[in-house]
Amino acid sequence: MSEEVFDKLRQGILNFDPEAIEKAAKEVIARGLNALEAIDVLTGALREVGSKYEDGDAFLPEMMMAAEALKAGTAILAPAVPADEKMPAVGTFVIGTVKGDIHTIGKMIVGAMLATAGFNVVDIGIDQSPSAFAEAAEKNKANIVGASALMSTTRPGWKDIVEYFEALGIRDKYKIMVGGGGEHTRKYAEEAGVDGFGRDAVEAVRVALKLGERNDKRPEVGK
Amino acid sequence: MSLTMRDVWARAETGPICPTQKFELKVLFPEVKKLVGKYDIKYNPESPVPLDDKLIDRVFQAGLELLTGAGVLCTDTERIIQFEEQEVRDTIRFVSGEVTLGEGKDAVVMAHRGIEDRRLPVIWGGPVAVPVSENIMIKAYESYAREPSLDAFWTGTLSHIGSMPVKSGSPLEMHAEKINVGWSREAFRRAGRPGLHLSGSSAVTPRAPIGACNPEYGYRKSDSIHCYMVVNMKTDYDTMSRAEHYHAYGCLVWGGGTTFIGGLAGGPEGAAITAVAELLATYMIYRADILLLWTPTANYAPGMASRRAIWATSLASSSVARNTNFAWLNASPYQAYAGPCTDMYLYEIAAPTIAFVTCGGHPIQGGGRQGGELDYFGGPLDTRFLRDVAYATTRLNRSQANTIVKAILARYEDRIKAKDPPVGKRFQECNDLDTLRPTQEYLDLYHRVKEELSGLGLEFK
Repeated sequence: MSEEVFDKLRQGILNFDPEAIEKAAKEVIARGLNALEAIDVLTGALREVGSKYEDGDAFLPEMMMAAEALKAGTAILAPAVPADEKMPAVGTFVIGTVKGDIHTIGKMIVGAMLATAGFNVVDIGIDQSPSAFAEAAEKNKANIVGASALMSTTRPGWKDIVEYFEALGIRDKYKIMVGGGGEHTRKYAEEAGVDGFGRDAVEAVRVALKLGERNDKRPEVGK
Repeated sequence: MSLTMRDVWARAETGPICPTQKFELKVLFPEVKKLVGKYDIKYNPESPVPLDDKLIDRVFQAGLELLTGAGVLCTDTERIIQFEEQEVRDTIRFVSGEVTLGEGKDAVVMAHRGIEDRRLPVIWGGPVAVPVSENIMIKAYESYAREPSLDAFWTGTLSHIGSMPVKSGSPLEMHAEKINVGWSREAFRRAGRPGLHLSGSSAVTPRAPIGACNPEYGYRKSDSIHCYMVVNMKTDYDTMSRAEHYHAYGCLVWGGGTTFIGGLAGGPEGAAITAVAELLATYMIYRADILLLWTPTANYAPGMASRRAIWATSLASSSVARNTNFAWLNASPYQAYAGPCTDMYLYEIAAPTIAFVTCGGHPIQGGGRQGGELDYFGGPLDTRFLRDVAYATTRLNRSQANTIVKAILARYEDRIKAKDPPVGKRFQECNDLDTLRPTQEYLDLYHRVKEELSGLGLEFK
């Protein structure tokens, strides 16, 4: 019986269909099935979409829609998970493009890939000041702050964020990651004094997961 | 009825309201998917140069329907600027098909080219937005201006002034823009080509290039400055304001789409039709005089010279060649994955150039290392190689071009997939800074790769 409902959840993610997922999630609750197991099914399906993207069989909008569909499901399922079974989430990742830079695609891809890896992703958009990153990090109790910059004239924005967080005395609360422009920008990231760098979306997710492991402030789903 | 820019501004204030993410996920992407299916557009890795005219025409019709079906979102008002198909057809009907670049004896005419057109394309070169050191900038620019194969110059980016990094939106960005343009002019004068066409503002904020519009020390009316679409099928008031100013000033407007394969337009099929739609949109919204058609890969394989990128851009270009009178540029590439003075770098120039020139485009080529690393551009030999390949391509038919492009792709695409391109050398290592001539090492490589290409069927004269 549970397999049938869980399959509806999986198909809901693969078909980017939040309404189908909401319906199936309500069915999980109504039938008294294991909500934590159901969330596992949703996140597993989201990872499938991420793999398809890496293989060129799914596209950015589909990853974004799948991540939205997952949110619809977990909103219903998470409250039903018993307190002693709360599943540790990977963490909350605030992502944005630095002040003066309006490039968005790389940031969107990384955000969608992070969501498929289990992060709660808060995208604050393009052309964002250091204060906007800090406010979003504090407001959302983030674990990691990620800043994208594509151009040589906007990369100084990485250092601006680090210095702003230091000035506010909140630098130690967050891991700061940066990316944009490929491998050759790694040295600029090092100069900026950040904690992590991703030359592409795949490396960004790998580094974020590693930084998340070291961070002891991971929230739990439903809290 | 043809539309004016003012008609478009009015629609940005009165069109249907649509939040940005809803436009991306619920309007644009479903429309792209629908049109890819309706017009049976399928990626064919065996045909990076398209051979099927019916497919080519279907791609144009799909692009036109994407523009009229989804419209263009103005992100400032979050309203959709809508177009009727007849309005688009009536508006583009008046495109002259020719634009004069530069002035005086240095002027060149960039004209509409068709598929397998025997007329020579205009050759655009320069660092193309690659960061350039302050202490070599004039010499580097002069080396390009001295190169007779160069018809139009695209600047680099001044990354530092003294020890201060040039930061977007700062006064230094505005200052850097004026220095960059002024030093380009000085370099052209030193090379004896004062009227050479200049393009390539690298400032993000509109006030920097607008402030540098000045016939004495800045952009002349014979130069061009860009107005890009906002990713994807979006625009904003900053960019529309740029277009208003450039037209009022009288310089040329250089309009570019922003279609990335794997991005909001989906795969290569969606990117091909979105590239067409964005090209039409840059004319409808900005009245661009010079258009750019490109579809770099946002994932799978980085860069602009991947097989998917060449396929999508070639298909879109062919469709524009057969169905409009536009003259447009293709990135050949702007920013190669490999560094200069390597065989892969030259292969990355050759494959897209052969494909795109066959499909009617004019090539523009810049630096390497994906454009982000200081001084990674090869200098005038890059442009000479681009010219040699582009001119030789005008003697090929599509089938021959397709065979050669595939043979060249086979020499470098594994290195893209492995994400391990050769680093190459900086401008200072590819050229003698006293004579401003390429090093013997780079010249030897240039001749060797040309010999390889001759062996594949490209006839150099």
